[in-house]
Amino acid sequence: MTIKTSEGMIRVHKDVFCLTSPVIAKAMEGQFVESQEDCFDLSHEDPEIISRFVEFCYLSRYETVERVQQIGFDLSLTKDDDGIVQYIGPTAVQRPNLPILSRSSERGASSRLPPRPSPTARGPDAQESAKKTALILNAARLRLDVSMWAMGDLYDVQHLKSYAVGQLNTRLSALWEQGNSPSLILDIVQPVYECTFSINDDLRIMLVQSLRKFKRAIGREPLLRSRFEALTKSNNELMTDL
Amino acid sequence: MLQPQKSREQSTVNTCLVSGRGSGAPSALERHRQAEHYDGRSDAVDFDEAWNILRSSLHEIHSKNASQLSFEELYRHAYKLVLKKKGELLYQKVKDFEEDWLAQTVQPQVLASISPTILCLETEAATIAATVNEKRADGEKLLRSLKGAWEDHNLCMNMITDVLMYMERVYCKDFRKPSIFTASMGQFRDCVLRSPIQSDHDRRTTIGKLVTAVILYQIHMDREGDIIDKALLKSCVYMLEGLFESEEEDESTRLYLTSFEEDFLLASRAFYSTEGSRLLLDADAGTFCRHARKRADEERDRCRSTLSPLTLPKIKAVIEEELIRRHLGDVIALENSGVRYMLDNDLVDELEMIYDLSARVDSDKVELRKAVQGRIKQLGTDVNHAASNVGMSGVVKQALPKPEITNAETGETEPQVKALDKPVNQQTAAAIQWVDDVLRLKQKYDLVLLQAFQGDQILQTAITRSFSDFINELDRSSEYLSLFFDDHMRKGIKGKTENEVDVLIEQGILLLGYIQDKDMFERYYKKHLSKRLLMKRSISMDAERQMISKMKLAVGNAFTTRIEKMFLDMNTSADLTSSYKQYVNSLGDPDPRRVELDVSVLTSTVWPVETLMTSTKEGESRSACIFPAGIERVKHGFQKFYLGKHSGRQLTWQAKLGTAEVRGFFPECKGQKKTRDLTVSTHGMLILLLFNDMGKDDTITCEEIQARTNIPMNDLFRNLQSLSVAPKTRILRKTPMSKDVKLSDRFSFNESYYNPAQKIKVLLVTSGNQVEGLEERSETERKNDDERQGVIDAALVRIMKQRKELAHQKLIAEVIGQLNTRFSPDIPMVKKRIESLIEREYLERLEKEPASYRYLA
Repeated sequence: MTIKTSEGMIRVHKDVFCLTSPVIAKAMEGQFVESQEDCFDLSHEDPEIISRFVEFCYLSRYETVERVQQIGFDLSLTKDDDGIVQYIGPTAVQRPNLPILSRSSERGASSRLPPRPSPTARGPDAQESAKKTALILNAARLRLDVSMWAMGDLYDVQHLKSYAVGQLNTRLSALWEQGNSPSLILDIVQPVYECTFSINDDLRIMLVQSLRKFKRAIGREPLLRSRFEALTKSNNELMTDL
Repeated sequence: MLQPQKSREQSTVNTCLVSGRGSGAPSALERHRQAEHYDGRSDAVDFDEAWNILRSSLHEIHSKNASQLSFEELYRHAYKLVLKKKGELLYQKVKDFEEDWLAQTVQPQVLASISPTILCLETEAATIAATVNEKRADGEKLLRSLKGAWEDHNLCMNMITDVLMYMERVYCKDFRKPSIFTASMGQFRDCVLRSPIQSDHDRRTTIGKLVTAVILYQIHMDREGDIIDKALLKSCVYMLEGLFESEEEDESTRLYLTSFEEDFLLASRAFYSTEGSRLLLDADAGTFCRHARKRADEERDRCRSTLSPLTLPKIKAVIEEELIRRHLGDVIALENSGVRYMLDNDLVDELEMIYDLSARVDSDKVELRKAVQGRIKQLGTDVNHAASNVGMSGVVKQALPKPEITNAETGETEPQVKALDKPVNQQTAAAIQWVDDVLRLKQKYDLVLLQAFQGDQILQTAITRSFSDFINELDRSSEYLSLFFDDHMRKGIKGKTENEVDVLIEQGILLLGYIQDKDMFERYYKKHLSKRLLMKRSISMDAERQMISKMKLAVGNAFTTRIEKMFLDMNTSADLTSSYKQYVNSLGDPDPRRVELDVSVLTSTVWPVETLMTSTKEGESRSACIFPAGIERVKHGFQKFYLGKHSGRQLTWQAKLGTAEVRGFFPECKGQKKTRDLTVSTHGMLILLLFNDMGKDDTITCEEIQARTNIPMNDLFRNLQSLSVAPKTRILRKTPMSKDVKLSDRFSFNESYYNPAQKIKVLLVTSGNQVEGLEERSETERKNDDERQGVIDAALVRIMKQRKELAHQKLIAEVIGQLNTRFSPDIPMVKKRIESLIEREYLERLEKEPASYRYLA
């Protein structure tokens, strides 16, 4: 069978996909157009996600984001009093539906791809740049896991869901260890709530637990706190879940 | 210098590629974004839009145009609606849509296929005359249309459920809603099957009821032998099985069970009830069984091929009740074809069917058991009558049917017996015949049991009991059985292989197992055995021993010890004789005229000495025979020898039981050799020796012989008969020549006696073991009763000694329990023995309730 993406066709093994996802199996084995044309149309989906989904179907794992070039968004950073780079939240755009990876429509002024830090760069600028790259990568990785979970949920692939939750959990724990920017977790609150149906979903459970863990750190930072409060106010489900 | 430049160029290209990918994003994506933007604001509009797409798709699916629809798209729409918490609305909308579809499209189609002919099926009013074929065709039309509707609905709902999979998985699970598939099945039930038929307002007939009626009618046709479309019925039944009363889909609420099966069972009950009564009138038992079995098999197949396996046990119960249980008793009792007829004609197959049917409805098989038992009893009584009739009348009945084996044997019997064919012999033959008959009966029923009744435990017990009953009804059964053994031991087993002898003995022992009064049998057996042993009539001692060991296995050790003792006596006697001979030789003085002596010393308590001597009539002197001097000398010599070895014993000489070898000289005998070796009884020898002292033509009367020998009259007559009347052994001449011997008859030595053989055995006329006369019989019974009294006394004392005190009822029960293996004690006799023991102060009566006794030490 083939999978149709916005960037072309991918030929895959039907058996592998039908075994992985009962939904795809129904589509391919039913009497719909998919089975007629032996093609599953995912052209509305992000190709990066699709390629990772395909990867997962074959290997039961997916590659995370390794290069900044893969990321289609930027983060606006602020420096705190000590001159340490801090990420409080997406200041430029207040869109709840952040594109997860790749090109976003407002790429341009605020999010030109940051140049790769040159190996020769020295001094505070270089440090700042490295820090920023790491933050961007982390943010992108978290979003990727959430999107992969959504894919798993949509096509009923249980082990993709648990894999994604596991990945996310490891990342959040690592962030916690590093004491690094609890605002990253706030970034994924909205996407998580959009793709989960109730607190019964493991993803949401994990998120809520992490939020509780980060709560104190968030409370210390007024900017973060106000953002968190805004989130809980606008999201009734989050309130009840917490 | 050139190289780094090149590489820089390359990296620029790369960057361009990445950005190119980005800028090349299709405008479709833009729209997507915009749509996302949009739904954030207006949920309601968004829902309507998605629902409209879904609804038209559902319609397409039902119209079988699904191949143009994208599963992925529909699935995604449903997914989004559910994520936006519109699951409930979606669920309800789909349900409404389905209800609409069923009511507006499907129901009219099915209704259109109903024709008036089948309407009357349900109401059972045959107002519209329609041929069977019309009814069948119309019925099939309805079923076919319904089957089509059901299959379409099923197919479409499967597809729709697939499309709504996310809703099922997330919404239905979380809110515990039945699957949309289940819900739509319920709608099919309500909107199609339960919808009333317009033409029939008053009776409230629904499509479902009509379907049931049509299916039942088709099954009825199938039972009548018509050919029906089983696959069609099966798919309709499958539909009923797939539908449930409620959305919980509880096993027991299948429509098949709730609205069809009961009607089916009722109809079947009615059908088989009439068929059973009709069959019983028209058919014989064999046909009935075959038919019933065929019906049972048919219904089983029907449950598999047409209906549901769930019904199997129920319809089986109906058949068993209506067709089998209700009529089985009558079938078994049918005059000219029932079980009796089958048994008499060895119809094993039909018996097997009867057994099979009985086993289905009644684990005890009461009816069959009764029938078989009755027949055995009847046949057994017939056999008993045949045997006792001969015994009573004493008339020679040549017409008596004899099995071939017995005929062959009688051909071999000694000439005397044949020549003097007396009623007693006839009776003996009848006794043996009786055993043969019983054995044949037994063999037959063993075969029936094995082949037809599959060795059924209950029937086996029943058959055994019947045999035991009729065998014990004949009071002479133990005597007859012993005679049977005797006959075979003396003649029957000649020329038979070891295996055949084995089988014979085993069969006999089997009968012994049925006999209750085993002590009686022992008495007779000992009597017959002692004659065989003393007169050396047994063909094979091995066979005798085998018999004893088998008896021991079958009846127990205690039973055979005394019989074994008899064999022991015979062995010690042989030793004794040889040591006596050595003793005589050691004395020197070999006297050529000396008589050789073989002695059998019998222990009087073990051997039935008194029964052997019963021919002495009351009042007759019991004094010993007078032996001639030569014999008397030897007798004394042995007595001295024996008493020297065992002091304190008393030897009583039983001349009646002995035999003697005499060499006779016949001066006028034909041929070269004038001497013959005669084997005669001791009494015969005594008689013959008398003639040694007489002249050539001297005669002597019977009376004189008696006076000179003191042989008991009875024995004398018999000996004289065999010596003068039996054609081949006329060593004496008798005047007048007649069959019977009278006191006044005169005898002389037959000097011209001729027999080609050198050794001649003169057999006593009635030397073989025979049926006892009535007198003898009552004597035996009296003696047996005497012995039983002793045995009962012993048992009573044994029990009381152990218990000290015991209630009357318990005592009686214990006595019976102890003695049952030997005989079944007569209760009045036991009571009498208790009285006697009280008189003799072994027991005393206790003054309390219940009546009890105490043992007095």
